[in-house]
Amino acid sequence: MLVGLEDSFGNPSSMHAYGRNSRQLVESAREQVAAGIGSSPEEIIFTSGATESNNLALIGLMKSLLPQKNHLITSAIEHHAVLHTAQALENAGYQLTILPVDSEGFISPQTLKNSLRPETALVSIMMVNNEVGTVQDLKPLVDIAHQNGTFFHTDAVQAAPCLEIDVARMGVDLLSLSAHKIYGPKGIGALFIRSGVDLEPLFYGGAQERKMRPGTENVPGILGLGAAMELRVDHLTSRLKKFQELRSYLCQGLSEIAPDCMINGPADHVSPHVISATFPGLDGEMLLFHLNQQGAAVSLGSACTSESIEPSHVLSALGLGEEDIDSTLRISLGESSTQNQIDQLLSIFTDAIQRSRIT
Amino acid sequence: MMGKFHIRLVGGWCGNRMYIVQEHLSKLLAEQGYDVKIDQQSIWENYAPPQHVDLVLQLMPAFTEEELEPPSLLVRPFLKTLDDPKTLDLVFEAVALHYPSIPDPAQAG
Repeated sequence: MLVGLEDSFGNPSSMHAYGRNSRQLVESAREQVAAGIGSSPEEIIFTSGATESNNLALIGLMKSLLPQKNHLITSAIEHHAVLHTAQALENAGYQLTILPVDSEGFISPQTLKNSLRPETALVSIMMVNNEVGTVQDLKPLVDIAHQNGTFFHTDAVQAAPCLEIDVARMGVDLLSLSAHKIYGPKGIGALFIRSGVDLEPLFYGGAQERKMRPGTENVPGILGLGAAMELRVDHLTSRLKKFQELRSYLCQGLSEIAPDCMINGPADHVSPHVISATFPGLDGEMLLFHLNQQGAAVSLGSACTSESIEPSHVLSALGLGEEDIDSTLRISLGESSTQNQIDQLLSIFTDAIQRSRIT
Repeated sequence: MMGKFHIRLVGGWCGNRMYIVQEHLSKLLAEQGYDVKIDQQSIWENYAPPQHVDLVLQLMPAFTEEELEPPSLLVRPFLKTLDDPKTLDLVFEAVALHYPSIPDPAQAG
C-alpha cells in the first residue's frame, strides 16, 4: 500500500511511465485476488467494498436482463447490503422473493426450487452468515438456479476469513468480497463477474474496470486487497484450525459460566470465527457495556434505528423472540485471538453477567 | 414545591429512543398536572449513579438500588412500547409517591 501512496503516485489510466507503473501494480493485485478465489484476473472488478459489490451485482444484473426477466430471489438472513438493495429493486417495480431459513440458518433447496419462475433473473444467497456463522451449502442451490437459467450471486465477505473460496467449484456467477474482513484496508472490495455475464454499471463516466466501475482506481486500497488475499490463502488452513479450537474453548467456557446460555446457529457447517450467544434474562447492552469496560469488544444482537431498538433480522429469521435477541451478543475471533484472551474474557464475563440481570 | 420534580432517565447507546421516551413521559406527566423536568444520562457517556434527582428511571439495569440514593424504577419495556400500561402505572405510582405536593389541576398543561 505504501508503494501506491509514496512511490507510484501515477494515475493507472495515464500513458506516461508513472501511470503505467501504477497500472502494473493494479493488475498484479487483480491477479492476487483472482488467484485467491480461483478465477481469471479479467473476472475481477475492484469496488469500494462489499456493499458496492452487492449493489452492482444485484442492480447491475437485474437491469441487464429487463424486460424478459424481472424476478429476484434472496434469503431472509442476508446482510442489509443485499436485503435492502433487493427491497429497493422491489420498490422500483421488480419482483422479489425472500426465502425463509430453518432454525440454524439453512435454506432448503426444495424451497428455492419452488420459488423459481421462468422470469427469475438472479438468486443471491450469502456463503457465510455474518451473525451466526452458518455456512450455506451453495452448490446444490447454484445447480437448481442454473437448471432454471437463473444466475447466482453470493456475498462471500464472511467466508473470506477462514474458508476456501473457489468460484469454479462453487459454480457461482457473481461473488462479493471485502478487504477489511481479511485484514486489508477499509473502503476497498471486489466483485467477481464470471466471464460472459453482463451487468449494467451503477456509475458512468469512465472506462475503468471495463466500464463496470468508472472512476480513478483506489490504487493503495487495491494493493492492500491484493496483499491481504495472498496472505489469506497462506494462512487459511492454520487459521481455520485455530478458530475451531478457540471457538470450542469459548463455547465450553460460556456454558460453564452461564449454563442457560444458547449458542445460535448450527453446530456443524459453521464458520468458527463468529459466535452468537444468547444469555436469557440478561440485558445484552449492559452485558456488552461491562465487557467493554474491561477491554473486551463484542457486538449486540439488536441495533438502534431512528425510533427504536430493532431486533436482528437474522436472529428473528432463525425464530428467536425479541427478549432473547435483546439478550444476545456476537463474539468474533480474529487473527490475534489467543486462548489466554479467551480466559480473560471468560473471567470478566462472570461479573458482567451478575451486573446485567433484568430482574 | 421549590423547583420542578427532577427525573433522570438512564439509558444506553440508542439516544433516539431516549429522546422519544423522555418526550413521551414529559407530556404524560404534564397532562396529569405534575411539574417535572426529565433529563437523560447515557451510561456510555457517564457511568456514575445519578445524584441530586428525585427519581431515576432506568431503561436498562445500569445501577442497583444499593448504588442509587434516589428511588429508582426499571422501565425497560419502554424500549419497545412507549405506552406499556404496567410500566406506565409504575412510573405514575412512583411519581405520585415521591412528588412533594398534590398537583394543582389548575397548573395542568
